[in-house]
Amino acid sequence: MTTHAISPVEYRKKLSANRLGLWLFIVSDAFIFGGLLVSRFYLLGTSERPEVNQVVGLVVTSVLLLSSFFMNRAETAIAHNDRKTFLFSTLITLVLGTIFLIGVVGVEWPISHFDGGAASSLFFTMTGFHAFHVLTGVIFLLVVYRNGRNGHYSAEQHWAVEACAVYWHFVDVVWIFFYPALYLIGLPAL
Amino acid sequence: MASSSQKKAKRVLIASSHALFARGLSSLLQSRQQKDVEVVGVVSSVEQAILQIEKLSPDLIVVDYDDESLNRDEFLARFVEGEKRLRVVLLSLHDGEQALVYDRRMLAAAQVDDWLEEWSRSRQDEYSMVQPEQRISKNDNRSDNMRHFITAGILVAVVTALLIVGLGQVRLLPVAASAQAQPIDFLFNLQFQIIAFLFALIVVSMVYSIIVFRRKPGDTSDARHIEGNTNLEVAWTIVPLFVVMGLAVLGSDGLAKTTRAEPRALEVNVIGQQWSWRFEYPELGIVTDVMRLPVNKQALLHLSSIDVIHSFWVPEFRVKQDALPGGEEFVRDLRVTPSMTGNFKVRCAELCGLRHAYMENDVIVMSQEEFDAWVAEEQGLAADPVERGRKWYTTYGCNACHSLDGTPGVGPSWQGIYGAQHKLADGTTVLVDDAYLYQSIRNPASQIVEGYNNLMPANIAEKMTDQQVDDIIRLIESLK
Amino acid sequence: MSKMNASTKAPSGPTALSLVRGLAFLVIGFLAGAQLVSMIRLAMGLPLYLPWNPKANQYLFTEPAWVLGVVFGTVAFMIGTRVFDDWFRWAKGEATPEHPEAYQPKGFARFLTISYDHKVIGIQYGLVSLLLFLLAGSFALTFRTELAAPGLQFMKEGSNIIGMDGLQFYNTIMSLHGIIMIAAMLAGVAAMSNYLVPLMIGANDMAFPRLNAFSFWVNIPAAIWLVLSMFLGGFDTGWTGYPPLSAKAPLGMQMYFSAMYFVGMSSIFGSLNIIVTIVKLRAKGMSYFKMPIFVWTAFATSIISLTATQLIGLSFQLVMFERLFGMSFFNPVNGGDPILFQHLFWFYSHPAVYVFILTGLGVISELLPVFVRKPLFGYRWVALSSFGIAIVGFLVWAHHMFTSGMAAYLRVPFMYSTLLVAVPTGVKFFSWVATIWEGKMTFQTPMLFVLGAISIFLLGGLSGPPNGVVATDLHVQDTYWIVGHFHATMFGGFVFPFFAAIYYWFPKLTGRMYNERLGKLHFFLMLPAFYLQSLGQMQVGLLGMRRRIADYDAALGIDTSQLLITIAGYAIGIAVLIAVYNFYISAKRGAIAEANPWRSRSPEFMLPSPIPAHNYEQPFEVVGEPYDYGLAGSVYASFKPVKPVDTGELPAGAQPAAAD
Repeated sequence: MTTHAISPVEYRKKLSANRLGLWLFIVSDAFIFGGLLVSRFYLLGTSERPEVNQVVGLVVTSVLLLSSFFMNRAETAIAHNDRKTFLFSTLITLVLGTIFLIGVVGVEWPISHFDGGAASSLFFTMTGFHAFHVLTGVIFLLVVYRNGRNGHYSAEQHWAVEACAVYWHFVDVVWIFFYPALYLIGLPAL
Repeated sequence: MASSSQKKAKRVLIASSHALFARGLSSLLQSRQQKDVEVVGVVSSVEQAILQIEKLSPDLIVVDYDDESLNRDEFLARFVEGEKRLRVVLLSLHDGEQALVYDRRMLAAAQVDDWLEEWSRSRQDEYSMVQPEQRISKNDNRSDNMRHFITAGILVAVVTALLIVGLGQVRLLPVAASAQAQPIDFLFNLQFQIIAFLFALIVVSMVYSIIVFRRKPGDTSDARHIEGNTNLEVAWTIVPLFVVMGLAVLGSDGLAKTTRAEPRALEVNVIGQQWSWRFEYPELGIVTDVMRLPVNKQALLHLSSIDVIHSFWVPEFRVKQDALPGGEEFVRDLRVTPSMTGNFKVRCAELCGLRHAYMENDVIVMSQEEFDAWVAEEQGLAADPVERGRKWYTTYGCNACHSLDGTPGVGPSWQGIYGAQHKLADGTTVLVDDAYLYQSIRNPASQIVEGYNNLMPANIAEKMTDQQVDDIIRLIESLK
Repeated sequence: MSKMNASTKAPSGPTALSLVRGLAFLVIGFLAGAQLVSMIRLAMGLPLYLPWNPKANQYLFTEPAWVLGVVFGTVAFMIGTRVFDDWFRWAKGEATPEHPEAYQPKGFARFLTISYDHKVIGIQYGLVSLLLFLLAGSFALTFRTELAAPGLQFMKEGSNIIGMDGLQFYNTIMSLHGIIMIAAMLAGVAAMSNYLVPLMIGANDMAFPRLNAFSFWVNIPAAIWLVLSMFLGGFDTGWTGYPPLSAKAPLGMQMYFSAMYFVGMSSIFGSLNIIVTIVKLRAKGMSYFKMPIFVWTAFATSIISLTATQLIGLSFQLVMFERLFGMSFFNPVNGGDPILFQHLFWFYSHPAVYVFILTGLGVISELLPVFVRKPLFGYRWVALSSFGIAIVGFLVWAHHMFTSGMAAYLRVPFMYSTLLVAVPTGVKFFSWVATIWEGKMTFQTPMLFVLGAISIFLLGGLSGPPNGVVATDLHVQDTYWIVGHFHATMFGGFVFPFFAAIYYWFPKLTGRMYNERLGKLHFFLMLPAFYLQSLGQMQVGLLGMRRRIADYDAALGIDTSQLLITIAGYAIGIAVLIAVYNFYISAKRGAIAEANPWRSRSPEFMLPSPIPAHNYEQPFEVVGEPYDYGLAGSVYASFKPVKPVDTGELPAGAQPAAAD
C-alpha cells in the first residue's frame, strides 16, 4: 500500500481492509487447488497415484516446511523491530524457496516420465500450479528483502512482510495437501 | 414541490365560537400568507358551518378543537358528506403545536370515528404534522383491503383457468410414442398447470396493482408505511418449500418409471460418430444405419461414441442420453419402449462439431412380425460386394461427408475417382487405386486431398473388417 | 525522499490515452511472446513458422506461440495502460499519492484512459457492456436470419464466410454470441456494483481503487482475443467448450480459452474489492440490515464470483494443457474422463448465472419502493434471500448434466437441491408484489423496466422446474426450451434491470435527464417482442428443435414460430438501438437534471448531479431505515450541513417536501 505518511487511524483502517483483501484472495486461490485435488481423486481414485521419486519428494517437502518456519521468524522479528533477524530469516526463506523450485522443476520434472496419461498429467499440472505460486512467492520475498534492506519496515508498519508471510504459509498449506495426494495415497499405476 | 402557484387565493373558513381565537387566527393568516389566503367567514356552530360551506365554497376550514360548543364529531360526520374538494384543519391551543389536516377526498364516512380515535391516541405519542393519508390505522381500509384481495383472487383464478385452457389449445409436445413418455408427459402437464397458476398469481396481482394502486394526479404523499408481516413471510417460504419438495418426490417417481427395466429387452448398441449413427444388434448379428424396433417391446440401448460426445434423442420417445467416447467403461444405457408404430428420427442432441445439425438417422417402429421379417432378411447378406458396399457406405457414416454422385461435401465425392490421379495437400500426386483407398479408410490423416480439411475421424473404420473395407472399394470402383 | 512529482505530471500526445498506449504495447507483447516460442522451436530443430493454411488449422505461428503471445500481449497491454505503475512503485519502495487524478481528459476521452475513480470505472464497464451487448446481439441477428426459414439460406456448406465453411461460421458466431453476452453481463454487473456500492454505503471510493482499474482494463485485451478467434478458425463447441470436441477444435478455441482466463481475473478481483468495500467502508450507523438492498445483492454476487470463477479457469486451463502438452484429463483414451470437465465447468457456470441476475434483482428491490412510495416489504427477508440463492446455487450444478452419463443416482439429490432454489427466489417475488400492493405507483421509464423485469424473470423462473425435474429434463435438455428458459431469466434478471438502472441513475451519471418518450418507446417495443421470442423458443424446443443448430427439419412444423422469433429478435435490436441513441443524445443535450428527481431516500441522491469526484465531502450517519416511505419525519441518512446552501437545489441531507 502507499508508503506516504498517513495518520495512524487511517493506517489501521487501510491495514484492516488489506488484511481482509488478502484473505479473500487466498480463499479464491484455494478453489483452484481444491479443483485440482478433486480432479486427482476423481480420475485416479484412492488406489492409484502418479509415479514419483519419494526421496526428492521428501527433500523438497522438508525444505518447504522449513522455509515456512523461517518466514514466521522473519515476520515475528520485524514485529519486534529486530531488523537483523528479519532480514536474515527472509533471505533464508527466499533461498529455501528457490531450492524447492529447483528440486521440483529442475530435478524431479526431468526424471519423471511424461506418458500423456491421466496420472502423469495430474502430477505435472499440480506440481506446476504449485510451483508457479512458489515462484511468485519468491519474487514477493525478493521485493520484501530489498525494501527491508533499504529500511522500509518497522514494528508499526510492515504490512508487506505480513502479507508475504501469509501468502507463503498458504502456499505451504497447499503443499501439505498436495504431497500426500501425489506421493502417499495409493500406488503408482503399472 | 412548492405551492403550485394558484391564481386564486385560498378561501378559508374559521369555525370557532371564541371570537378571540377567530379574530386572532384570521389576522395571523392574512398577515402571514397575504394574498394567498382569504378568510371568507367565521362560524360558531356546526349548522352555520355546513351552511357556509355550501354558500362560500371554502378550500380550507380551520376548526377550533378546544371549542366544546362545536360538536366536532357531528361536524365531521356531516362534513364528509360533501363532494367538493375541501380540507379541514383541527387546531388546538392546548396541546402544543398539534394540528391535524385531513382531506375530504381521502376519508370515508365510516372512517371518521376510527380516525378521530386514532388521532387522539396519537397525540399522546406526540406526532406532529401528521397527514392522515399516512396515519390511517390498519382498521380503516380493512373492507377496502378485503375487496382488493378478493377481486384479485378471483381474477387470478380466472386467468389461471384461461391459461390452462389456452395451453391445451397450443401444440406443445410431440405425439407421445413410448411407454417412458407417459410419466414424463404427466409431469409436464402437472408442471404446466402449476406454471399457469403461479404466473397468473404474480402477474395478475401486478396488473391489478398497476390499475388500482396508481398515484392519483396531484397526490405527492407516500403510501401506507407497511414494513412487512412475519407470518406472511413464513407462510410463503414454507408453502413453496412443501410444493417443490412434493414435486421432487413426484419427479423421482417419474424418473424411476422411465428407467424401469424389462427382462429380456432387445439389446441395441448405438454408436455415434461425427456425423451419423450406427446401430448394431449384437444378438442378431445385424449392423444398420436405420434403427428398427418392434412396438411395445423394450429396447435396451447401449450408447457410445467413437469420437466426441453425442446425444441420442427421439422427441416422440422423450428420453435422452449422451453417447460418450472411451470404450466399455463409458457405455451408457437408455431404455425405450416404443408404444406406437411409425417413422421417427433420431437427431444428435449434443453439439458435436461442424455438421451437428444434420446428424440424424431414421427410426422405424413396426409390429413384431414385421420386425422379425426384417431380421431374417438382414441376416442374409447380399452376395454382390458393390451392394454390400452401398450398405456399409451408410452404416458406417461415409455418406455424412462423401457423395456418390459428384455433389461437393466435407470430403471428396467418390464419383469417378477410381483410377484417376489425385493431388494431395502435401503436393504429391497419387493414383487412386485399391491400396490408396485402403490407406485412406484405415488411416485417413495420412493422405489429405488438396483443398480439403483433415476432418475424417481417425478411428472411423475401427469396427470394419477388411472384407467390409474391400466392399466399399468395390463400390467406389463401380462409380463412374 | 519520495518521488511523488513524477506521478503527477500529465502525459501528452496520442499515447496519453491508456487505451491507445495499451494497444500499442499489446501488439509488441504479442509478437514478443509468439517469437519467443518460435525461437525455442528453432533451438529444438523445428520450423519457426507454419504456412498460413486455415484449412489445415495453420496460422503462421504454432498454437503454443499464439498462446504465449496472448499471455505476453495481455500483460504488455496492462503495463501500457499504466495500471501497474503505482504497484511497481510500491515494490520499489516508493510512495504514491492517494488520489492521482493527474490526467483527466475532457469529454468522452475520459473513459478511454485510466482512472481510479469508481464512478468513471463504473461507466467504463457500462460502456463496454453495451458495446459487447450490441456485438453479440448482431451475431444473434445474423444467425436468426439464417434460422428464420428451414434449409440453409446463406451459411451454406462449402461456402466461405471470413475463411470458414458456412456451418463452421454458424457454430462460431453462435458460440461467440453466448460468451460475449456473458462477458457483457459480467461487465454490466460490474458497472452497477462499482458505481453504486461506494455511493450507497457512504464511501468515497472502493477499498482498492488501483485493483479496480486493473479489473476493468484486463477485459479489453480479453475482448480482443475473443473476437480474434473468428479469424483463426473459430470454434465449434459453444461457449461450454466440452472436450473431447474442444480438444480437437481449431486455433480459435485456444483464443477463447485464453480470453476467458482474463475475464475471470476481472471478475475475481472486482468482487474481492466489492466485498472489502462493503465490509470495511460503510458509513457510521449503517449496520448490515440498514444497507440499501442493492448492496446486499452486490455482496452475495461477489461471494459467488470470488470463489466459483476459479473453476472455469481451471477447467479451460486443463483443456489448454491437453492441446498444448498432450496431457489427458478428459480424454478417455488415456485415463481421462469427459464428465470431469463438466463437473468442474458447471461448478462455476451454474453459480455464475446467479452472478448475472442477483444485482439485477437488487435493482428491482431498490427501485420499487421509490416508485411505489412504500417500504420494501420484508426487507430483511429479501436481503437474506440473496444469500440463500447464492448458497443453494452452489449445490445444484449437476442439473446441467442429467443426460451426461454421470452416475445415475446423483441425479436425484441434484433435482431436490435445484427445486429448492425456487424458495428464496419466491420470497423475492412475493415481497415485490407485497411492496406494490396498496402502493401509489408512478410509471416513469425505470419503473416500467422494473415491472417488465419482474414478469419476464417470472416466466424464466417458472420454465425452470421442467429442467430441474429429471424426467422432464430428459426431453428438454439441449433444446430451445432451455434456450427460452435462460434468455428469459437473463433478460428478466439482467437486461431489463440494467436498462432500468441506467435510466434511473442517468441524472446522477450525467447531470442530465434522459428522454422519457424514447425510454417508453424502448420499453413498449422490447417487452412484447421479448415475450414473443421467449414463448416461441419454449414452444419450438418442446416440439423437438435442438439447440446450437443452423438448420432444422421442415417436418417439425415450426417454421412460422421460427420466423416470428427472428422478427422478435429484430424488434429487440431496434429497441436497444433506440435506447443507445437516447443515452447518447441525452448525455449530450438532455435537460439538466435536479439532484433527486425520484424523491429517493438513498444517499447518492442527496449529492449534486453529476456526482463530484470524491462523493461525500462530509460523511453522513445512518439514523433510520432505508425504505421508510410513508413514515413521516423519518430520516435515513443524516448529513450535517457545513454551510447554508443557496443554490436553489436541495441542500445535502434535506428531505424533499412532500406536499404540493
